[in-house]
Order: sequence, then C-alpha cells, then structure tokens
Amino acid sequence: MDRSISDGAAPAAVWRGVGREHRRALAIAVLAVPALLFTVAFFIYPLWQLVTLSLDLPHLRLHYYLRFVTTAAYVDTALWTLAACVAITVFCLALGYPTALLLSRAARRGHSYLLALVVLPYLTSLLVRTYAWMVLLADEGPINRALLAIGVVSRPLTLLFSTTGAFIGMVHLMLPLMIMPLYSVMYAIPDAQMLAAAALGGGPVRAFLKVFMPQSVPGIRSGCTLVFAVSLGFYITPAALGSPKDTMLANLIASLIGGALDFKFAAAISVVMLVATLLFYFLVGGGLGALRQHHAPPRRSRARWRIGRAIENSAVANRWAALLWSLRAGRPRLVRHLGAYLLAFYGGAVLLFLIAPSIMVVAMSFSGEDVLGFPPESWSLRWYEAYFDDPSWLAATWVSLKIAAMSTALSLLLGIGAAYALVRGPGWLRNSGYALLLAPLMVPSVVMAVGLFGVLAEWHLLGTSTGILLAHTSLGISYVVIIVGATLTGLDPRLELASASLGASRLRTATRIVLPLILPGVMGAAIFAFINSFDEVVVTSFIASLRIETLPLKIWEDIRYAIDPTVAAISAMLIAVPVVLLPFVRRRGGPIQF
Amino acid sequence: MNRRRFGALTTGALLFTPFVAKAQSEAITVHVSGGFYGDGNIKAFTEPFEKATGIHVNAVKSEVPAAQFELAARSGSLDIDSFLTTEADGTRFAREGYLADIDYSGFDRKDLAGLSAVARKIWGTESIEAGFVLSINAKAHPAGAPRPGSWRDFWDYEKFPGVRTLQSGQAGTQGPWEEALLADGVAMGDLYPLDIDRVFRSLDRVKAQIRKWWVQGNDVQQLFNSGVVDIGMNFDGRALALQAAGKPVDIEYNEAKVYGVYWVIPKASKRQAATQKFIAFASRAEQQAALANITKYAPSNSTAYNFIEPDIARKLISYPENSKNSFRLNGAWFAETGPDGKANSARLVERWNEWIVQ
Repeated sequence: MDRSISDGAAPAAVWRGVGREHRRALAIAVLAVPALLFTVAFFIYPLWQLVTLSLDLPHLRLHYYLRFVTTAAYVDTALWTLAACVAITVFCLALGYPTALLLSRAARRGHSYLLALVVLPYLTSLLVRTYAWMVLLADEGPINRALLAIGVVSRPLTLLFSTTGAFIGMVHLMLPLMIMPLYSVMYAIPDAQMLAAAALGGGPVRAFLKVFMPQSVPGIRSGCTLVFAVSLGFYITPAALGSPKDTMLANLIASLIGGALDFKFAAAISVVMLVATLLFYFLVGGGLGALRQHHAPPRRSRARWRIGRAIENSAVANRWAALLWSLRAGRPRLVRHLGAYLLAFYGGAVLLFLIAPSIMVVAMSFSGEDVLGFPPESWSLRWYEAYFDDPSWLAATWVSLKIAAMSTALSLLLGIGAAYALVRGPGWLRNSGYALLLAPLMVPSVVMAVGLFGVLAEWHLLGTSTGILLAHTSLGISYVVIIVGATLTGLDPRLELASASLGASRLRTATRIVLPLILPGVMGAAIFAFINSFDEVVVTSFIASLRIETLPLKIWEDIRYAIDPTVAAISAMLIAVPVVLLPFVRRRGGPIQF
Repeated sequence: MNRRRFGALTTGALLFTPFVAKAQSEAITVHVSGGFYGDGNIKAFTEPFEKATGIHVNAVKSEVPAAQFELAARSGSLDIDSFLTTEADGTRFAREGYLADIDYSGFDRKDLAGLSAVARKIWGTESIEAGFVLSINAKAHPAGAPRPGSWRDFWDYEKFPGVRTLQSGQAGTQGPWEEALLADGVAMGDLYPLDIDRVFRSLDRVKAQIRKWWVQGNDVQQLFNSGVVDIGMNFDGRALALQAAGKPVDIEYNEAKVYGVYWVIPKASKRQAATQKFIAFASRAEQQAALANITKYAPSNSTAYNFIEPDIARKLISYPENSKNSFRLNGAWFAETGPDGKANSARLVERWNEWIVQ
C-alpha cells in the first residue's frame, strides 16, 4: 500500500475497506506478471544453467570457486573492477546532475531539443565512440596537439592505453545513462515549488537542498544503479583505451570463454560477480532497497503537501509575489544570476565533452582518405557511397532495424505495466520485483551470451531473429522499468485518484491521465530499449550463431580488420535519426507541465 | 523467331526453372574472413570457383571464432560448409570430432606435390602461410644506425630504446610465447614443448616497456600507422600493407614465426562433395598465386610461385631469402592436453590472465 496516498486529501470513499484495497493492489500486481515471467524464462533460467555449470551439478563441486578466491590476481581484478565502477558512477553523478538540471530547466523553457546533445552521443555506436576516443587521446591526437600548441605540456601526455584514458572513455559512455533518468525526474518537478520555497523564505541553496534535491532522489538512484551495473559489464572499452592493468572481470570472462573455452570457470566468476554486486547494493544501503523506500518518503510527501496547500492559498501566493519582487530588486543582476551562469557554464562544458566525439565522427565520415583520422586531410562522400553500394551493409541495417523495433515494442508492452505495478502496487512486490527486473542490467553481456546460448539452442531459437529479439528484450524491459518507474514515482498518485473519483474507468485513467503524463519517460525508455537492441554486439555474436548478421556484428567484424570511414558514415546517419525524431517527441511531450 | 520455337523455349525455361532453383539451394556457405584478406579470398577463390563449376558460393566476410564454432557444433545448429582456422584450433576441433576429413583424391597431382606434409592435414588444407615478424619504425631506427635484429635485441631496451608493442596472449593459441623464449636464449629448434614458467619469467623483464599488448591485426596496424610505437611484433601482411601505404615500417625476417591458416569442413555440412571441390580448387597453383598477388600472403602450394609477380614474391614470408631464419609455429602443441584434460593453450590463457593484471 502506498503511504503517500493516505497523505493526500483523497476521497475517503474510494479507499474504504481493506478488502477492496487488497483487491486493487492485487489487480495492479497482475500487470507485472508478463514481464516477470519473461525475465524468468530469458534471464533467470539461462543464469541457472550457468550456476549448474559452475558447480558441476549434480556433483556439486566448489573447485572453480576455490580457484577464484585463492588466486590473488583474480581477487585483485575483482576489487579493481568494483572500485572502478564506483568511481565511474561518482564521476557521472558529479558531471551529470548539474547537466540534467540545466537541461530540464531549459526544456521547461521550450528548449527540450538540447536533450539531443545527450541522446546523440548515446546513439553513436559504442564501438565507434570507443574508436573516436582512441583517435582523440592518441599521442598525436587532437587533444595532445592542442595542449602542445598552447604550451601546457612539452611532450605528449600518455592518455591512450592508460587508466586515465580508460576512465575518460568509460565516463563518456556512461554519462547519458546518468543524465536521462535524472532529466526525466527533474522535468516532472514543478518550477512553482522553487518559487514557493523562495517565497516561504528559503534561500536558493536551502530551497534546492530541502525541496528540489529530495524529489530528484529517484533519478539519482536509477541513474547510479544503471551506471554502476552497466559499467560492471565493460570490456571492449577498457581493453581498447586502458593499460593492461585496467583489466576488468568482464575481460577475464571474455578471455576465458573466447581463449580457453573454459565455460565452467567463466560461469563461476559470473556467479561470484553477481553475488558481489548484490552484496554491494545492500552494503551501500542504496540500490534496490532505496528504490523501494523513496516511493513514499515521509519527508517528501510532507513537503509536497505543505507546498500544495500553500499554492491553494491565494493570500500566500500574493505574498510570494511581493517577496520575489523585493528579492529581485534588492540584489545586483550578476549576483542574482551567478548560480544560473555557473550552472550554464558547467553543464555546457559537460555537454561539449559529450558531443565532441560525435562531431568528430560526423567530420570523419566525410573524409576522402582511406583510413579514419581527424581532421581528415580531404573531403568526399565516397564512404556514404560505399555504404549504399554494398548490399551487405544495407541488409545488416534492415535486420537490425527490424529486431530493434520489435524488441522495443515488446519491452514497452511488458515493461510499462511492470513499472506501474512496482510503483503503485503492493509493497511486497516492489522489493523482489525490482530485484528481478533490474537484474539483467547487472550481468555482464558475455555471461548472458553463454547462458542464453544453451537455452536458445534447447528451444531451437538459435540463429533466428526471434531468438535475438527475445534475448535483447530482457535487458530492454530493465531499461523501461527503471526509467518509467522513476517517472511514475515523480507522478502524484492523487491525479489518478482524482480521475477515478470523477468517474473515469481504470483503462481511461491509464490512457488519458497516466500515459500522457509519463510520456517523456516512455519516450526515453523507448530510445534506450531501441539502442540497447540496435547496438548490442556481445550477446548477439553468440546467439546469431553465424547465421544472422546484424549491423553491429558487421561493424565489429569490419573494425577487426580495417577501420575505414564507412563505419563513421553509418554512425553519422544514425546521429541524424534523433535529430529528426526529437522535435516530434518534444511536441508530444510539450503539454506536460504542472 | 517463330511462335512454335518461342513456345518450346518458354516451355523449356519453365521445365528448367525448378532445377535452377535447386542448384541455387545447394549453394555452399563459406566464411572467408574479413577485410582485404576476405576480399582477396573472394576474388581469388570463390568467384573463379563459381565461374568454373557453376556451384554458387555464399561467401560470408567474417571469421568463425573458436568458441562460437564449438558451441554451434555441439548444439547441432551449424550450417556452414567451410571456414578458415588455425592449426591449433583445427587440431582441437578434429579431436572433438567436429570436422570432416578432406578428400585429397580430388586434388590435382601437381597441386598435391606443392603442398607440404604440414599443409595437408586430414582435417584441413592449408590456404596461406602468415608470419609474426619484428616490425621497426624506420623514423625511430634509421636503416644506417644499429637497429634491433632479434627478439633478444627487442628485450634489450637499454641498447634499443623506444616504445614497444607485443601481441596479447589472451587467446592462448597465439601470443608472445616463442619470442619470449628466443629472447631468453632458447634456440629456434628447441622451442617446443614451450617451458611456460620460463616464458613468463622472460615476459616479466619486458613487461614495463610494452605500451600496448595488441589483440587484433588492425590494432597493431593502427599503432604503427599513428607512430605510437617504434618496434613491435606484427603480422607480415599488416607490415606490408603499411609499407604499401607509404609508412616508414621495416620488416626483420630473422626469427619470424610462421603459421598456417587452414580450410576446414564441419562434419555437419550437408554439401560435403561441393565443398571438397571448392577446397581442391582453392589449393590450385593459379588460384593460390592470385591470392598472393592480391593480399601478399604466402601460398601454401609452393608451385604457386611460378605464377606470382616477382616483385611480390620477394616480399612473401615463405620466399627463400625471407624464410631462412624463420620457424614454424607448432599448432599441435597448443592443442595437446595434459593429464588434467586441459589444452596447453588454455593453460597459457590462465597464466596470462593472472600475469597481466599484476
């Protein structure tokens, strides 16, 4: 039962009788069933197969686990991996929070197209972004050349193949995952609240800490969860940009599978990783437990209620205006706007960092050279021609588009219902439901690849588009649940009660009230689910079973042999897609204001 | 054309349509690897084969990674008729019973004479010979000055300073193993069986000097292309490609490590006869020469040298002048299993993973 409901001035009649409440809670809980069943079939079952493999069931041998904990190198790698993921999460939060704040404020003033600066880098293929950083960080790359030119350094910094380089690349890859959920939560926090807080005598800092920040906590939680978990699965980027010491657990697993064909030991390490992650979540007291808690944090509800009452009181409202006026008049313009300037500067710098590699990729796509380099020495359209003249590129693109579109549709279908059930449904569902539906994010893709391979082979889905799209969807559901869940949490449940009390049916409330209100979150979730499928390379490379070629598989294959600017041309075209789509999303999302 | 004849023709066409469709459905699927090597395989082998035999080849420009092949073969979900692999992996696949035997009775006698014993395995036929060579950035080490000429020199960074690169050992079947032993004073003839402890003791001494342990051929090409490294272990084909692009990269053929790339046929292939024909065709001297002319990879069939352009022949790894101080990578050793059932390559992967993070 959602406690915040009892805080509101809900029509008591609707909520009379525990039996009825109970029935309603159950009815909502049912919405989560399809997603839960799906996750059990395509996530838990494959992992269970890995557990049986790692324990040598039915013999039950701990051999592989003992080998892991008694080898100093493996333990060191595990500790380094955890430390690196925490550091990446902290960096992303520090860079992402102010940026999301800036973007959500800009969006409220009609500048939601700025979000494209976050979405565009995310849409650029992970492989291409990693390669762009290799070019940027190289000893003779643009960064070092610029530093040499202004005389900051006398010889090139070792950025590429260093821990610094790996961190720059990984933070860049993860930043959109932090900003998107923060943005969608911040967007839902009414500006009027800050005005009200100011009117009630709180300075900007106090208003921010007491009113705004607590309400953005759902976004912080889901952003951190997402970044931490996805970082755990990193292995292409640290291998490409880092030093040999930056080996992560996922690299170890990939090497054990690809090099030694040691599936059992790889399975054991995956299980260790899984357990360590769960322990970590409970240790920091955040993660899943906290996701549940703040659905009804008493402090926030009280603040909301107080402000709600304040707004109702027009006499108070009049007093704000007077207060605001005196505040504005009393201080010089620069000081008054200092915070806003700082925020714009900081956020602008972060956005530049985010978008720079994408701009570079677009520039390189018009290269006239045979190899990727920045800046290109001559210009041409030949790499676009190379793409359109090659039927195998077009076929791979079409396969990926189909799979990604279907996977997105399925993820939304199953995920939105589940998110609603977790946020508004009974408390007992929340803990286990979130744990189960978000767990796919925590498992490195190599692990899933091996687990899914066995299961899909069993079901004769190996090497089929159906198999690939089902494999992508368990992760797609996680993205939908985490993003739509955060948006729903920020949505006042009394709006639904009001709709119900005015006689709307549950379906009508869902389609006319809830869905339009959470539309920005749904759009964000759809983008993430789509890209999750469209860009996936590790799991797909295993389960495509050499029969189906998706676009990332083809890019991956190409990059292994020779990186020519065709890959940049494809990425540049992918970047153009959201440029076209986002204004549409904005118009649809436009009316959502309190 | 009169009406009756036209009618006969169309009837004939209609009658033949099912056969044409059937012939197409019997096309063989061959993974030819990617990049310029994949393009070369298509131009030198699959396209001429289609023309000569009428058997359609679905040439897939990608590799078949060992782990994926093993998984797919085990689950019976494979529909590949042929692909390229190394001696180490091929030996292991054959032992597991995943590969069909090559039918050498369909080969031309002259071609068979050109193929050495190591190129004519029961489970596969060698297509090219490639090599790992010491590659030198001529800008950092000009030809006149003393420059590293052996792996012992490569290990001696006081005598030959400069940024270094070696192949990563993460794949197990290939890595800087032999180079480490040569640097430590082991003679080329005494390398196998590899002394794994000695390999890592030797690698310990060079570890701090290695800027990057490269994984893909493209990685090392980029390292030399951008001038990040001065000396390093490199594929001969990549070094030649850099030279062709005008980069100052020299090749030291002393202590070059030569290995074979083999065509294999999975047992699960349903088009064995046509695929056997394809491998026999790809082993012909003319076809092998065509590939060498395009890719600068050395032919497995030595009689191909009769058809290779002299300028290109001089650059190939198996050219007598280049190969006199080289050795052959013993893939079979990597596939050998110990009493614990673990292959030597897997043992190396484990040691590598523990060593690299220290």
